[in-house]
Amino acid sequence: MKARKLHNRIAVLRRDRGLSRQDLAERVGVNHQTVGYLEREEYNPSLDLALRISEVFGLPVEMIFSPRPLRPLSEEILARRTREEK
Amino acid sequence: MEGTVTGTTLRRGVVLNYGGLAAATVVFLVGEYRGWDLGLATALVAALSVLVATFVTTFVRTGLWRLVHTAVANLDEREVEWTHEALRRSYRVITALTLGVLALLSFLVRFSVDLLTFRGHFSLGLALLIALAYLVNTLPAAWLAARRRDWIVG
Repeated sequence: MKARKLHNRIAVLRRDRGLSRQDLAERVGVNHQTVGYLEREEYNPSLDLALRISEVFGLPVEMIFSPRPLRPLSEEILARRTREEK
Repeated sequence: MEGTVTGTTLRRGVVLNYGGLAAATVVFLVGEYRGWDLGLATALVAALSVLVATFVTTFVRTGLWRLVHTAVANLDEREVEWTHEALRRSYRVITALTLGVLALLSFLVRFSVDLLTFRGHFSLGLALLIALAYLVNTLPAAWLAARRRDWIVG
């Protein structure tokens, strides 16, 4: 089975939290180069690593990773709120 | 250490390093065979300089050396995947080169030393070595599976 390309918001979330790649790498227990590969969407993380990343950002894993291109987080939240209000 | 090196730069560095190694080996063999002179000594120093310089810039500074010489337990999942693929490919190359050299040597000295031909049965000797090269990694795989108790068939 060929792996699907996964899109993610790691770069945006990392910058938003004021973390360097090295900081994030240390928190999730990988090499800083791996964070670069994840951010460029050149590597799909294991479930364990995806969960560790979601724990660092305090967000559900589906808010960070998706098989479809991700919209900006602000648009996503706005769309959710709109759906909830309806 | 953050920063980037392009894939092309990395490849160029590795090719230069291998070139330096090959050139140093050839110059050394020529020097030993024909006798050393200033030109050969200079060529050897130049080849060794390329070897050392590219080793430092391409292998050490980029972390490539660490990547391929670190125990699996100290690598992250992407690095394990990467080194696995690198080892798989290098095993193929080493196997092909070794078999090629053995076959060549057998042809060159087949009437004095029987390296591969098994008393003239060249195809059988080579076939056995190719079979071994193809199957040999099942040995550690089976041992690893035994350590993990069960092997799921299918």
